Amino acid sequence: MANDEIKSIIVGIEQLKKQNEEREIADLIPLVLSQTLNSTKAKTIMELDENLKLALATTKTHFPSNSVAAICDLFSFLVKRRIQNCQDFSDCKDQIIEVGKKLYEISLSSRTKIAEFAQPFIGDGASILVHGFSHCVIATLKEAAKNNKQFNIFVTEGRPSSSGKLVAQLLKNEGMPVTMIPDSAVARNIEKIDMILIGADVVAESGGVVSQIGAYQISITAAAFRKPFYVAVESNRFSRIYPLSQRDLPAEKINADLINQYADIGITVK
Amino acid sequence: MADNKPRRPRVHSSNNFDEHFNSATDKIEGKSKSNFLQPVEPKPKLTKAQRREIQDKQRADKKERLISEGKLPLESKNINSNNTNSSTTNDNVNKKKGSKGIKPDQIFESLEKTKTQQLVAPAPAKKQVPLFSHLPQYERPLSHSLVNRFAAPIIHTSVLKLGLQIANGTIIGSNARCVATLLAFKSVIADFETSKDQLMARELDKSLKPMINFLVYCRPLAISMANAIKFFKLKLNSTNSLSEAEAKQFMYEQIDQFILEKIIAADKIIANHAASKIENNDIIVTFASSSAVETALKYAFEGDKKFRVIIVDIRQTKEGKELLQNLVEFGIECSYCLISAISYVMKVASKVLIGASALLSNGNAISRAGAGSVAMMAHAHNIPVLVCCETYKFCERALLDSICFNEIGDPEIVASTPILKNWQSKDNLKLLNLMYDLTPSQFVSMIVTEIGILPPTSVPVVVREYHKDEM
Repeated sequence: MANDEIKSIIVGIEQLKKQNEEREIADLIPLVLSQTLNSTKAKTIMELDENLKLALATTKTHFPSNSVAAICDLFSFLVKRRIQNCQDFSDCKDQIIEVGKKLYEISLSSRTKIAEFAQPFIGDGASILVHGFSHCVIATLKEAAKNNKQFNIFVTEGRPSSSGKLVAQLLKNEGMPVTMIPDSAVARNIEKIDMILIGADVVAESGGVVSQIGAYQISITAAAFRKPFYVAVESNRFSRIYPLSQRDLPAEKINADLINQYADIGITVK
Repeated sequence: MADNKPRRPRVHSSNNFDEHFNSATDKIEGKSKSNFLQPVEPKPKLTKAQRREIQDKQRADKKERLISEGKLPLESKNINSNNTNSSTTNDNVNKKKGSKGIKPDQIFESLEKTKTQQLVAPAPAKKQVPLFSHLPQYERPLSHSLVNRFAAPIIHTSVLKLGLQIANGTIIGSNARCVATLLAFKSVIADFETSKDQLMARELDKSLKPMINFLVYCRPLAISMANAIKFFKLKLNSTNSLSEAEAKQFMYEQIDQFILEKIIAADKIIANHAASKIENNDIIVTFASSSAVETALKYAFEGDKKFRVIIVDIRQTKEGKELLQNLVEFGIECSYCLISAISYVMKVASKVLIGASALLSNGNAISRAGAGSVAMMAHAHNIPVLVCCETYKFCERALLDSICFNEIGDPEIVASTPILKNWQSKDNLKLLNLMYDLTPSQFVSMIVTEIGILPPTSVPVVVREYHKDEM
C-alpha cells in the first residue's frame, strides 16, 4: 500500500471530522478505511489483508485511543469474516464497503436509539450525576428534556481534561439546570443524587467499562451508597480486551497543563 | 400489544383440564383426609441398630422376592456379598467358577450384568458417609478380581491395562486419562474384526460398552473422558457408509485430530494467552498439578518474564511434587507448601493459576479438591484467579455444590497417618476422600481457553456454539 494511500486515510479522517463535529473519530474510521481499501490496487486477498493490517496499524498509532483501537479491531474482524465467505475478489471489495457503511450507520443511529432506551430510567424530578464527555449521555439528556421531564444535573469537573466545562456548557444551552462539582466532592454530594450516567470509550470482554479517569472511583462510591450507575455506550465499542487489572490498560497521555503545574517544584505527574 | 381481535378460545377443552385437576387433588386430599380423620399413633422410637436391622431384613426380603421372580440372577447375590469382604472376594469367586474354568455361559452372564447393573458395589453400610451415600462408594479394585470378573476376550488388553493403570493411580489428571483412553480405543479398533454383513459402527459400539463399564469400575469417568467418548461415538456412527478399512482409517484420523487439536494445540494456545497475562515480578500461586498451567508457566518463562511460582499441594496425593520437579528442572524459581499455608502465601501472591477438570454451564469450575479454597482465599485478598481449561472439558451440567456430583476416592489415603491405622475397626469413625470440589464462578476472574480469554458467564455460549457441531 503506497505511502500516499496511507496518508490519505489520516487526511480523510481528519477532514470528515472537521465536516462532522458531532461525530467522534472512532465512528468515522470504518467509513474512511473501507473507502481507502476499496480504492487500493490490490488484486489478491493476501494483498488486501496486508493493506488492511497496514491501514489499521497506521490509524491506531495516529489516533491513539481505546475507542479507536476497539473500532479497528471490530472492523478487521468483520471484514475478515466476510472475506472468508466471498466467492471472488471483486465481491470482497464490495463486502468491505458494506462493512464500513454498516458500522458507520450503526454509530449514526446509536445515539438516538440509546437516548430512547434510556428514557424509562430517568424519572421525573431526578438528580443525575454526569461524568466525562459522552455524546450518548448528552443525547439522552436532551431527549429527556424534550419529553418534558424535570431533572437537575450535577456535572463533575472531569480534571485534568476539564470535560466538565464542555458538558456543562452544552447542557446549559439546552436549558437544563446544571451544577458543577469538583471530582473529589462526589461522595459529599452522592446523597442528593439519584443516579449516575456516564459514557464509555470501550466495553471490555469481562463486562467492565473503560471510561474517563475518575469513573471507577465514582462507581465504587455509587455502589457503597446503592445508587444506580448507568453506562450509555454504542454497540460498536465492544472489544475483546480482557484487562486483569488497571495495569492492563494502555497508559494515557497526560495533559500538558497538568505537567506544567508541578514542573516548578520538580514533581512528576502520573 | 393492543389487539382489537377477539381473544382466541383455548385449544384444550376446559373439561379435560378440570378432570385432571380434580382427580389429582382428590388423590392428595384423599390421603390427607384419611389422616385427619383417624388419630395419629405415635411410632415406637427405635435405636439406630434396630432401624438398621429392620433395613437389612427388608433388603434381604426384597432380594429373595426378586430372585424368586427371576428378575435378579443368582450370581449377583454372591458377588454383592463378596465385595463386603475384599479379602474373601477372590476365594469365593474362584470357588464359584470352580475347577471347570470359565464357561462361556458365565462370561455371557457377567457381560449381561456389566451392561445393566451398577457395578460398583456399595461399601459396607456402616462405613458410608451419609451425606455422600448417593455417590458410588470406593471399592479397591484388586487386579485378580478385575481379571476374573471381566474375562479377557470381552475386554481388550489395552483397555485392561489402562483400567488398571487408572485404578492404580499411575495415570492421573483429566487430560492424561482422556488421551490414554482414546489411544486405548485406537488399539481396540485396530484389533476389531467386524463379522460379515454387519456394520462396524454398531458392532464396535456394542463391544465397547463393557469396556467402558470396566473403566468406570476402575475409576468413575471424568467429565473430560465422558466428552471424549461422546465425540468418539459420534464419529463412529458417521462411518456407516464406509468400508471397514476406510472406517478404521477415518477413526484413527479423528482420534489423532481430537488429541492434537483439543488437547495438545489447545494447551499451547492457552499457554500463549495465559503468558500474556503474566508480568515481571509476579508471584504466581498454583494448586496441585495441571498440564495446562505447567505449559503456560514454561511458555511465559521462555518469553523472558521474571516471575516466581508457589505450588500449593495436598498431603494425600502430593500431585504438586511432579509439577515442582518439572518447573525447577526448567529453571523457574519455585516454592512449595501445603494447603494449610494458603492464607500465609496469599499475602505475597499476585496471581493464581489453576487448572480445571471440567467447567459447568453456570461458570462454576470442578477441579481437584482444595482448588475451591485456594480460589476463595485469593478472592478475599483481591487476587485474580485464572482458570486454564480446554474447551472440550466444558459441559452443559450446572452444579451448585461439591456434594451432588463428586468422586469418592480411596479412604486409605486419608488414613496414611499412624493414628488412623485401625480406622476400620472403630465403629464411629468414617473416612472420606473426595476427589473434586467446586469453585464458584464469582471467585473465577477469567477462564483461559484456546478460543480466547472468557468470563465465566461465557461457558454456556461455548457449549452451545462449539459443541453442537463437534460433539
